[in-house]
Amino acid sequence: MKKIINLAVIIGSLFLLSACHQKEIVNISKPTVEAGAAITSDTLKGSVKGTMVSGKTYYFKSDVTVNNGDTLLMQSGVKLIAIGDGTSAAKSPQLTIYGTFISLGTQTDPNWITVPDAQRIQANAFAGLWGGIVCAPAPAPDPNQANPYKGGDLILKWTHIEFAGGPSGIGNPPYAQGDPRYLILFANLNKNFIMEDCWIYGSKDDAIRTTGGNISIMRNTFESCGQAGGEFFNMKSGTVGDLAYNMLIGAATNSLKAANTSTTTIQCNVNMYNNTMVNGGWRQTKTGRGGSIDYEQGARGLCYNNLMVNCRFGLRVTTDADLPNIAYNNNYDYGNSANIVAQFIATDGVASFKANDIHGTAKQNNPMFYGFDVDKFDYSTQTGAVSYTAQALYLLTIGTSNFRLQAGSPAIGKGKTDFAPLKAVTATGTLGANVMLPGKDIGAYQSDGTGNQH
Amino acid sequence: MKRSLPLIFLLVLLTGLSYASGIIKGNITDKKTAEPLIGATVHIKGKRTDFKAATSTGLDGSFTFKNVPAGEYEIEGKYISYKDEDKDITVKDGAVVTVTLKLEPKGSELKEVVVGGRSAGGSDQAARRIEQRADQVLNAVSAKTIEVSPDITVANVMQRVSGVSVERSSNGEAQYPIIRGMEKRYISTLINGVKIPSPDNKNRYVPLDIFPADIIDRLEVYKSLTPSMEADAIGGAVNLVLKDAPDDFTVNANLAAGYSQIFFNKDFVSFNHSSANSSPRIINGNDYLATNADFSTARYKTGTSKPVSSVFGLTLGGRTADKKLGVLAAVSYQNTYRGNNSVYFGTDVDRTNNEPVVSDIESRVYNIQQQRTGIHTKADYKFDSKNKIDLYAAYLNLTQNQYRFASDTDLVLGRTGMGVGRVKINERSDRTVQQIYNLTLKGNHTLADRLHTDWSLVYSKAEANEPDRATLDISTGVLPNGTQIAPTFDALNGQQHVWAKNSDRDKAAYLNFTYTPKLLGTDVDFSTGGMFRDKDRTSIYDSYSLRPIPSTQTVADNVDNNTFQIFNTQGTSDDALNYVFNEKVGAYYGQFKFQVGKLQTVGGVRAEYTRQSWQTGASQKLAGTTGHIQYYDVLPSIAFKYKLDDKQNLRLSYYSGISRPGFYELVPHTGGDPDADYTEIGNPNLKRVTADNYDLRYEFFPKGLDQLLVGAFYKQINNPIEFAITSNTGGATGYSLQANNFGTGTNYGFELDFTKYVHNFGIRANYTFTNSKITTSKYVRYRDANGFLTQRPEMQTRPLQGQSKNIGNVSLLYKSAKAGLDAQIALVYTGSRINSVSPYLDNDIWQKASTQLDVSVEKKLFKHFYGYVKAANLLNTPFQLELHRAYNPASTVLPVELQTPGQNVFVRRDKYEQTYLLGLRFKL
Repeated sequence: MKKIINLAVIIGSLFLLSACHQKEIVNISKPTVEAGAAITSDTLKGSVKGTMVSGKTYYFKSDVTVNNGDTLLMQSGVKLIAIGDGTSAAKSPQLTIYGTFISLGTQTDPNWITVPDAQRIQANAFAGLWGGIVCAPAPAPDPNQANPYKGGDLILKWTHIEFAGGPSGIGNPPYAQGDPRYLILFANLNKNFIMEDCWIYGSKDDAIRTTGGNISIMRNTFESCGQAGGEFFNMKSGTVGDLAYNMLIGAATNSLKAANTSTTTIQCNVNMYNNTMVNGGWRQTKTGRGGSIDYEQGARGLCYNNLMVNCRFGLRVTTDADLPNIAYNNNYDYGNSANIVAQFIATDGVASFKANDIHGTAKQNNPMFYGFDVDKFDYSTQTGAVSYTAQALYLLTIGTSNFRLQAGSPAIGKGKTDFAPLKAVTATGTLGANVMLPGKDIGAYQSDGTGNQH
Repeated sequence: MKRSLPLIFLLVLLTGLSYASGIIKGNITDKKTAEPLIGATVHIKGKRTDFKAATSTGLDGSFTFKNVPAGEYEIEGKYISYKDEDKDITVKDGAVVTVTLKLEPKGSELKEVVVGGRSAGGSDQAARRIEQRADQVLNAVSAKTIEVSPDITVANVMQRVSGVSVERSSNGEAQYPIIRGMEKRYISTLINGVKIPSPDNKNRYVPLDIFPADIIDRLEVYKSLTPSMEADAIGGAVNLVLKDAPDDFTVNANLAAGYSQIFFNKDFVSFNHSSANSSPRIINGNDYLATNADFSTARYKTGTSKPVSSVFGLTLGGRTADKKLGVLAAVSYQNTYRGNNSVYFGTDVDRTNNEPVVSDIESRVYNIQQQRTGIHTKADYKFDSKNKIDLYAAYLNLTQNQYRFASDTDLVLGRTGMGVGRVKINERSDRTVQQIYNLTLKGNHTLADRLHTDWSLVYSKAEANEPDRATLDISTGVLPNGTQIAPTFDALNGQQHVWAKNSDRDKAAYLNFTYTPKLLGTDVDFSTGGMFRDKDRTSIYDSYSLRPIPSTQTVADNVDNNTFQIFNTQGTSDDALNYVFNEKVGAYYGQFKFQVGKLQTVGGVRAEYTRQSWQTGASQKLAGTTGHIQYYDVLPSIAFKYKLDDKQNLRLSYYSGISRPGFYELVPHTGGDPDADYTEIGNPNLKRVTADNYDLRYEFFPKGLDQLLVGAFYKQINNPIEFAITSNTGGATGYSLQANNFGTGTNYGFELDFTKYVHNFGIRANYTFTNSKITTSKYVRYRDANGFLTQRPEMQTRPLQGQSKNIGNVSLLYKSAKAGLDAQIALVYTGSRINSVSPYLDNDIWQKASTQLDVSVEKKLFKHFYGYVKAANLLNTPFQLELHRAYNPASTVLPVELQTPGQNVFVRRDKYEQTYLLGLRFKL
């Protein structure tokens, strides 16, 4: 009997054996979003939206945010002045664009996003006085759900953007605190980044980096960016589009670089054509990183009609690039020293000269610029990397130089015109892109007056 | 000399073998427990002659006297902490007399109150009996076993336990246990049954290499749980039972010196340890702008030496004359030097076909000094036979100084021929101080005849401080034309200084009641109780980079002659590793235990409530900057023990367990290596893991220390946590790496554990088979129909990370109490297992199977003094990683050393070489 009772106890206890695990009650903070306020004064702060009206000057000395879905528009002739010194994140304010930012400068009334005039000196080119423009999706309201925000477009026309790049502060994704910032970071997959006829000058590291986006980068001028490394335009996985008719002088490393790193499902696919690159690559201290155009790590695209003058390295296509889908030809290399000539095709890569490339020995094939002596600085005196302090201003900025081609330049009429741009951008109308077809003359300036208008 | 050293140890082992035959045979046992007493002395004295002889008992408690002349004798057995026992016997020519002496422990009259029982401190017998009598499935290792083993840390001891393998740190030292294929997140660590916090920022549980082996009395590995135990031990729990005050005055001292084979061939590299203890931001506040003056170059000042390791231990203990107050203090200090020569291949996945490719080869040379200090004091006071309190205090410190020199050659770019290529040099000096403080006050009381209670109050704190991890990044190499590239600093990150600090503070209270009425003629134990723990974890992390200005300067012999400029002046206060986390866990349980016939049943239910909250350094713009999570679990368990007979048990048990996510995994950070393909992000919605665990075990304890354990287990794991690729981006673009829950995993296997002693010889062996399964998402890189490079997700089923299908141990022991000699050869086999999970399909990195051989010998030199030798890693077993994919020679420009076309891709090989320790022990 006792045993039976005991057995019953055992069997009874077995029925208790049903574990119960309460579902987690999770209460995590939602991101605070300050409603975007219309612009009412000449000082921007907090969350803003609306229009900066023609001819006015605006200031910001703390971070400014454009919320998801909001638009900030600059009419023509607007100056937006960043008040900062770059000594800390708090003293290098940033424009954070979770929505759309449009700057509609014109040839006669360009826009400026810069620092006060007193700070606009070459000595500050690499100081990173403010934080730059970040275009990224707004932070996810719930970090465990796919982010519903996709970010917006960035459309810049006839706009000067200068002197940014100080280290990031806290809570500023995609940057972590202490990361160097760029003049522009565009991180919106499938959104439009259109930049036409703009001037880019002075940055600590990369001037512009895209980690996604459909781009059209036409007829811009880039000067003097990257203190001891960094590219003028650095494209990662997710970036698709065209870069053409850009004038790029004095890059620390490459002028244009494409790599399919930082993984998205969209392959980095960019066409680079009719660009003029001068004096690039001399501040990069690491060996073989490139000095003009670079395709690496799975990137693809077409590369024609580019003019490279006294760049430390010419075209660099590394073995891990998407070689079957990279085509290049009709590129023009000039160097005034044997070292440069030896790297017209960067020996680091696997590219080779093509039939219509123009290249020769030292000082052969002078492209005949209107106002720039390609042999003024003798590169045979400089074999390795240099510090910016050792580089003369005329090697880094356009100043009074003129990179248009004289009549009789060997570059004239040597361009390839029978290929199509990607035209990846979808914006149309006055805000849309003017994607110029390939030009018949090599370089950014066409003898018929088209191309770069600066 | 280098090769012959291991042989010498083998020779030492073979000496002292002797053959015995005789007329008086017998055993010495504990009168109360009938356990054999090892190393007890036995004297015979002729009653009418002057014939005298003495011997000691062997590993099975047996003894033999040969060639004893016929006559009448008095035989006497003696053993520490036992009362002497004698008998009269008569020996006849050609006959064998068999005697059993049963010794009675001293002071046993006060012992009833001691919960859990205590036999002669740290003996093998005690360990065996604990295994046999425990209510749940467990394995125990005694202090005596550890003392004569080749191991000097608890982590090394762990690898000898059935079903346990270890995860090693970069210096080859065992660090974390993996119990039956369940990695460290599933295994909790206890000291005297109380959970202790971890100094490791990324892990909840303590790395076991912080504990010197000689302060513990016994190591218990629980493989199933009872309701009275905390439930976060799906894989099991490791309980370090520290030494208790002995009844007699005891002194145990130990002094040793050692050397590492690797430093016969090269010098040990040390660095200057003076540097700021906290980051400039922590010293001066968040708004402070650091200047160059805040960063010392002391860390880069290196020196070389031929280092001799030293080990010191002292245990003092005793009890007052009335036996009421007992005190024990143990101090252990180990200063060891180790080296590691490592070769490592960077691997990637081809973007068109997901095939593995090697991108670079890196040689890493580690120089590691570990200073391990353990101080442990325990006082107990027995008011009377019904009331006892224990006060226990421990301090543990593991200070590691590691200098690493790495030289990385790119195999893809800039490599046009042998001896040509780009080289990145990384010099790193890193000092880490880990400390654990624990203070426990414990009481045991008999309230009434059948009602007992015990309680504990615990304060513990674990800290890890990594002040100024200083790194130099240098670029150099050889150009295709043969010219050496002048070394320059990395322009963006030439010098890096990192300060990391975290602390984990626990306050806990435990209270248990046991009521043992007689119901229906059966003794029944009802116990109930509860616990509460409040945990505060804080983590601080600052990283500063200094850039060379001018950027083109070449690297000087003395880095003071180079000039740098601090780049990020404010540190990294919003790094993921800056957070405050609070966790409160409360639990109560009801448990019963009774025996019907041969069947003992222990069962009951436990309820655990968890409440967590955190605050990170990130701004309110980020979701999850602050968070709260709460939940409760009701966790039943039941264990049957069927006593087939006095020597055999059959056990069947079930328990429900949980595993809470790590604090670092929950906090919604976005961070990690900025150059990594995938950014690591936190997951505040990470669920806890729950598991149903089933165990079946047959136990046979034929005699003495012999045993045979055969068991099988099955675990169903719900929401197992693994790191995997996710399209949730946090703040990052593209894909990220995130800890996540993955459906249901299973883990099953069986274990065999076997111990057999024949007088002077013993063999211990165990084998475990484990099979686990989990399915997680991976990515496949491919070229799509339109010719674009892209990737798609695919599910992959694989074993759990760290689970070896086969693991085994064999130890051969020799003990001659007469010659005062103990020797042991220990072999550990660890089967292949996943070392790290790749984000890409079929690209997981596997650790190759390995066999490690260690030897130790202890010899009594003269009264109270013993000499010992411990030699580890005699086979110079390398740690090797590989991909289970064929190496494709087309993936590199030139043939690469160590890679063979068609063979598995070689990923890493670390060689630590042998270490030796020669010591002297004093026992009173």
